[in-house]
Amino acid sequence: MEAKIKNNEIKAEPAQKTICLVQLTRLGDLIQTAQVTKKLKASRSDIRVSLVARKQFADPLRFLLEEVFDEIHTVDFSGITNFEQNNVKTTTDNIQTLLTQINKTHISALINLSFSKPAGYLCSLIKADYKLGVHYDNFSNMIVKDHWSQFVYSNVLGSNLNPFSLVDLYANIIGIDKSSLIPVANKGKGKRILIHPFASLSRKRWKPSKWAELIYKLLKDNPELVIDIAGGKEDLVDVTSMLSSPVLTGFQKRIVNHVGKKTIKEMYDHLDLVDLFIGHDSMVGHLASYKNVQTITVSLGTVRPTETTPYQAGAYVLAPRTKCFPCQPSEKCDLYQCHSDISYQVACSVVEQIRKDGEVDFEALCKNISSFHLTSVDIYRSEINNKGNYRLKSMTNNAPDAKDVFRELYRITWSFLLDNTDENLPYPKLSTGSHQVLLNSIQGFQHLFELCEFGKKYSKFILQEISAETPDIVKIKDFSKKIDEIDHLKSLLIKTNPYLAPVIDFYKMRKGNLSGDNIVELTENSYLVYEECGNVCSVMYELIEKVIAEHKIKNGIRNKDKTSNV
Amino acid sequence: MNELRQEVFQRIQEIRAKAQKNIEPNEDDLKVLLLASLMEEECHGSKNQE
Repeated sequence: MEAKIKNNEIKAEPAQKTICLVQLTRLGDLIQTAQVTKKLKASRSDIRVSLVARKQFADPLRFLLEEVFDEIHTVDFSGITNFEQNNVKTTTDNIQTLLTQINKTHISALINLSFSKPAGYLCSLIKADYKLGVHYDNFSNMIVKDHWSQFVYSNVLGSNLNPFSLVDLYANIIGIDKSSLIPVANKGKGKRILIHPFASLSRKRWKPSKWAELIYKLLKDNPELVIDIAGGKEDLVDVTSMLSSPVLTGFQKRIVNHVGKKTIKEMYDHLDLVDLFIGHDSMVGHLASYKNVQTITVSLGTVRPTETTPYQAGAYVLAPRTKCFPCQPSEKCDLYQCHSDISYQVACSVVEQIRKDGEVDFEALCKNISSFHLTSVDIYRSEINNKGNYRLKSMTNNAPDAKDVFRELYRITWSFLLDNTDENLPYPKLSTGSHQVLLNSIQGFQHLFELCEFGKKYSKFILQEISAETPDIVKIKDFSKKIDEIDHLKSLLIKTNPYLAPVIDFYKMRKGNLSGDNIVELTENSYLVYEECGNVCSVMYELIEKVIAEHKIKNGIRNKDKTSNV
Repeated sequence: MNELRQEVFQRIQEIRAKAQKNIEPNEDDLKVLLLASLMEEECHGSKNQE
């Protein structure tokens, strides 16, 4: 630490603080982490930010990561472990070499943005003043102390009702001002489109023949259009099958095939020539958004558009209205109904509208395409409000399904309770189905609230017993048993009310990570967790009541209109 | 691989035994747990290796 001597006083200059982000997940997540870090650096240029990432993902993106991170530590787990040759001693020695390299710089805050076991253990071994996100204590118990990491662990990994984008969640975990550096998509007018028709899993991508149909229609209807196709070496078979489609025979001159030929850096540079990107949820979409190229994402299978759509205002998403969408990776599916529910005609019309007007007008879309195609698809446009919160806004007139309604209500609730921000959203439209689900879940929230009240009551009894002159351990144990029963009943409630899962799982996580060194502190904090959970129930109860009331009023008005018309 | 797996398994048993006696695992034990989690990932796959 440097010191300045002035008027015989020694003033210590504070050393530059270092935040270390651990992101061991894939390329797309790394780009999103870079987007958050850009915001962090914009508001706090005095802070050094380092990154710990897997070598296989960080190396191809080094050109981009070096722009935002002051230091990058790459972890080559396969080299460190080398399961075929090493024994435990050599492996742990290799891990120590990695740790020595990371620990060379004093880390003020270590933030784990990847929610895997190896990342958690690695974070336990890295030395830092403060740790956020998943890590393990000395007894190998998982610790997640901060609210937003607890939220990600319980809501993003566990359910599909998370209303926030991953970039916003990362920003919330780090605690940065989201309103700076809001990326806005350039209008996708122009004559060059980049298509990335691939994804890591077959359930997340259309078959090559369907992409061939879309490319054919676009090239046939737009004689000046040029289409670039991006992809890696592993996509060579699919691209050959796509381009050998008979429908594309006369258009080969206007298709530029980059698959397996360009590195990520070369593709990133090539994006300067491109006006619009269309593809599935993949790294290339995030790369395009990084360059403010307008994106259209065709979300299929396990993809959750709210979480992973490229981070930019003005991005479009086509998502199927299939009941099981988005599915879980563990669910088997041979039918891929969600692939059929987005027709290439809808995708083509969306692209043409964006190319012509820079945006999608649903009324105009209805005139061009049969409602048969439109009723099975949702079209969303991304918005980022002045607080920097990212949201997908529906462009269609379709009534949202129950999952969408709950996502909006949870968005209001969590923003208010965890971020202290008000989200002003319109009342969601209700279908008969979603109305019924809301009516059922309102009772669920009532039950959950009552359980929380019992939790508070027994926590209070424990505190009273402890403060008695001669505390009775048997009584304390009995009350603790009651609390265990309450927690068990809360978990059972998810079976009958699955839409309550985000609240129940989040507070289960909070309860598993109570602060406190003794029974009094732990019980006090347990009381507070029940109190918080009860508050969420009250807010959700009130919101659902209002949505239902609004639905009834609207229906009433519509009925009156019908009567007067008659 | 099998030898390494057996060695890791044995070390985990030792760590468990220590934990039952309320003895804190040391840094080396945490490294073994990291190694075990990587082996688990290698066997079952994860989002990182999709």
